Amino acid sequence: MAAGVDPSIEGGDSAWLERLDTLRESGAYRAYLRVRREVLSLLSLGQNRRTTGHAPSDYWSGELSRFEYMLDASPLVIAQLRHHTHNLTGLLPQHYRESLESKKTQFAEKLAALRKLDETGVWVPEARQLGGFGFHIDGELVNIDTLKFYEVLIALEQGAILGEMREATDRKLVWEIGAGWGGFPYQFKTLCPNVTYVITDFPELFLFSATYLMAAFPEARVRFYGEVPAEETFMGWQELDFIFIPDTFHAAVRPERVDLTINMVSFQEMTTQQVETYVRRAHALDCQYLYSLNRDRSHHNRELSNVRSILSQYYWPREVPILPVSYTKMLDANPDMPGRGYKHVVGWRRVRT
Amino acid sequence: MSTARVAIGAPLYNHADELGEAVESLLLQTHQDFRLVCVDDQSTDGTEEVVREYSALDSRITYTKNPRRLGMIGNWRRAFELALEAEPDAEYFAWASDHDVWHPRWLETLVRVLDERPKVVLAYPRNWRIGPDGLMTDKRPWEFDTTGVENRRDRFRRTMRHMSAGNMIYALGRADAIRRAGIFRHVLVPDRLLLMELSLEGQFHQVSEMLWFRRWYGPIFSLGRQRRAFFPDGRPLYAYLPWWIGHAASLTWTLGVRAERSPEIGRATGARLGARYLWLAGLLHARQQLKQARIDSLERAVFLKPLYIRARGTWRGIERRRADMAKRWRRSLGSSEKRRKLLQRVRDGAKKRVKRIVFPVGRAMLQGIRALPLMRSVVVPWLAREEIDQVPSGPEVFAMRKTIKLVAQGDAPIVVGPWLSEVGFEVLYWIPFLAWAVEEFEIPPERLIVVSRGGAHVWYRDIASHHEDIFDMMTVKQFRKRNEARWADGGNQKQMAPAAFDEYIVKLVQERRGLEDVNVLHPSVMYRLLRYYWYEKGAISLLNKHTVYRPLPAVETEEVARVLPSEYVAVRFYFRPSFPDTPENRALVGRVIRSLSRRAPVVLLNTGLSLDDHEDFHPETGMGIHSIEHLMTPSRNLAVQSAVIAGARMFVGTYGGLSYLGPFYGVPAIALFSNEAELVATHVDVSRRLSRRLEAPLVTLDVREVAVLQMLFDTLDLTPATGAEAVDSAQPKTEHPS
Repeated sequence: MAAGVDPSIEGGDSAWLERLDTLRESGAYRAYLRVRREVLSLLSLGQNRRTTGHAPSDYWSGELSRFEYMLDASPLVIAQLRHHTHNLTGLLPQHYRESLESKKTQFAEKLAALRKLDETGVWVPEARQLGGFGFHIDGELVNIDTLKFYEVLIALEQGAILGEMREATDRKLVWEIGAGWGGFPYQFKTLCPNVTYVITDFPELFLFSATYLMAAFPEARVRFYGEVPAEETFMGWQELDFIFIPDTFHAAVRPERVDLTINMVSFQEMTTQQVETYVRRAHALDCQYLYSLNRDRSHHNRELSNVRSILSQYYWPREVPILPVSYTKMLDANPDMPGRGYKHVVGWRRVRT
Repeated sequence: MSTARVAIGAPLYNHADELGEAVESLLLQTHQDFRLVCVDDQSTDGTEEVVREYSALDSRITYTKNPRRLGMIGNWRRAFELALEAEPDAEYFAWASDHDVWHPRWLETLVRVLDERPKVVLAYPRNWRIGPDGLMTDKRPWEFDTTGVENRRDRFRRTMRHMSAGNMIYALGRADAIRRAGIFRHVLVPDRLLLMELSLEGQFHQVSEMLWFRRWYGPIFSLGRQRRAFFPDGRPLYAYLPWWIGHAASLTWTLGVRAERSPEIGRATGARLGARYLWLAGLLHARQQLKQARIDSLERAVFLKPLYIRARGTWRGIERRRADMAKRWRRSLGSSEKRRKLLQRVRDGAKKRVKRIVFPVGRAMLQGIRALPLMRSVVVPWLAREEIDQVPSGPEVFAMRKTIKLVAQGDAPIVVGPWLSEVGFEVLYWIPFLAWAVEEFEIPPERLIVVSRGGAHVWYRDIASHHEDIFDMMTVKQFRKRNEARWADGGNQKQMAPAAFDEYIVKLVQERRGLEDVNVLHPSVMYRLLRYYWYEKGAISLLNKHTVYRPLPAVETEEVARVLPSEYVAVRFYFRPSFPDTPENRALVGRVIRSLSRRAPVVLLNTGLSLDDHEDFHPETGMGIHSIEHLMTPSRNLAVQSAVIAGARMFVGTYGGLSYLGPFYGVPAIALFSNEAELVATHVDVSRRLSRRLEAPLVTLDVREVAVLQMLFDTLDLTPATGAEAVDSAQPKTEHPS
């Protein structure tokens, strides 16, 4: 070491190295390494399909390229994985500084309003692991995603679906189309342990969702598409907790049963044909319930007719009103204009389509 | 041989629209061991076709049509009998409505309850209400349960006080208990009597899960309606007795005289139960009547409301002070159980004595007031004439007349409007209402300044001499922004009350015209009155009495005629909830326009302006399809569209605003929709009546009837020229071909 260097830095260096070593050995990082291996393999598998008409939209191509760095994330990145989910949600820890008193009050008010509607106790706070953040309210972390998922769980409860999943004696299979960073599957699985949760998404997003879920549930049994021959993807599914299927291959596998299909805020961004394909597939798989949290159509999306109309071809849609404002707003905002806001829609399978 | 454990009887009557979802929700039950027996009481709306489609898919469904209309009681009884005939060994039975929805685990859960709890005779879940708009309402689920109550008398009393028949009658029950309880007796409110009799048979159990989604059409209960629905062959005299007397008599007869029950309930017990029913129901009824009388009187005499609220506040204050004093007194007396009971007895006794004195005195006073000559000769006939005591809209009629009378007084100019909501309501209701008001209150047109937007003043020419256009006062962007804020604040586009934006516009009008003092005839007067009709709380007579439907004044067509073909069809398609933007609708509209353009030139009424939240359909122009967007400006788009419609051979478009204009200008119109659930039946009804009255057809068509539409077009000879000739002759006249 050169003369004049502060020895405390040297000590600091070794502490850092030690910490890095520890993090490298952590469950979360080991999970990440497994996910990365699978994602790379899925990306190469999907290469051909993507060039033959299954390419992501322009919007998603841009989004996906923003977090390519996640394919080579350091243990420090994984230790703070939730901070990096801003690539998907736009939310950062600094949005939830405790000094933002009035904002915190708004969150507390919204949480209280939701708690009033929650008859069976479906509240799951943001997990503290992997850099979980939010306002500290009653000793728990609360952010906009936490409130959104809470709303969804209440809607599922009021739509008489969640109770069935929570009390199930036989294993249920839940299919979420587009699970983002894995926040909702975490909440759902916490409340309903006796379900197998299937996630269909862009493989790149599994770097967030699969890593997060495998870290949150270290004992969980996980399978990725391609780990076994395609036709065996759902073999012994009752023994699995999470199954990850890339968007390009969802039609290539056929689960024995699907009890609930979930979509949040992505149908509204798809084309009519894409939404119809997913909904028709859920129906064809005899999925009894379909839950959607979407606007009828995103303002900028000109390739979609109306989410609810498409759902209603295969499911009897029933809107569950929770709060007068969309999940994106606080209680003191103006109520949603009719036909504009996000709607909690619970659909029951049609016998005749 | 059938061996289903559960028989479900579905009495059907004219709910074809909701029946499909109801039947599907039953077919999706996880407990599959049931038979569904549908009994149709002579429905006239396609109910039979719906059930037959499902019975072809699933052998558990049977369909029977009554040879003649039996009425509700007859039909419910028949549904029970036929279901048990089809499944004689069924242990459990439930009536299923033809419009509700059940959760797939509804039957499984209730069967488990009855299997596990032999003392329970009736099991039902908590339920959600589905409002008329199809949304689940936020009303808290109703709860009632007598599980564990062994004492029959106790169950009887609790059921009487706390039951909600509508929430319980679609429960799953033990078939033999329901039969013993008389199924549905021929009385008014028979579900209530059945539940009371079932409470003698055993316990009621409510499961805490929300497994039933009950459609709620509002408080539509009325004894008159029941008499009509229950006794289609004529109402027996006893149907005019108060229902609770009928129930008590029925109980006394079946239990006390005929002893039609288990030996446990002897004749003496039966007679006692009848008497007890009379007493309990009488009390309950009196309490409800008093509550209703209070609500009614406050609705009729609005001026009494503040007094009432004040009196109630004072009374509650007295009650609070009395409770405080009692608390202090109790403390001073000590807390022995004996003293507490003594106090309770004294208090109850005092209450009873007060009631005994106050009730008869009150009744006598009311009778005395009614007997006063002035009341008998003037007030009561006036109330009857004005229907104030008969229809819920009565007070609103009174308030409306008073408001317009005040507005019409004096010589100050009257600002009519500002009209800020939909074109459809303006044409269909606001203008006819104004026409009526002007005649009824003899308001000279010179006093009226109509405030609307987009050149709509052309519709008011025979009503008002002056007008102001909102788009002359502000830009479209400003208007939209402030109007949407108004909409968001009020929660509704309808102008149910003057908002800050309305007042702002009135102020602008005053400034532009240099008027210091104006009276305002605001659309809320019309909205508040006619909502009773729109939401089916008032009869068509309410509308007829307060509107004058006549053709709209002639509109100048000279300017637009220069750019239009000599003969043409006016077309305006846009998307709205009743005609959503779906690929099917787009394809259909494209086909309709192409087909029309082959027979006659088509003139599109699209404005190219972003004036509201509707999205226009934009077909490719050319080849006989003409666009006049270049004529449209914010302040005259409605005037231009009116002129085009007035000169057209026919109007074809989306059902709504502009389609009503056709009949008003004597032009036949065809209006399409595809989602009937989003239509308000009363508007459709009015538009049909309007077209008959003005002798210009307005055909409202569901797109599913498009084949009929096609036939209709095939039979119409819109133009003497062939399509190509028509296009050729039209082209040179269009200054701005697209």
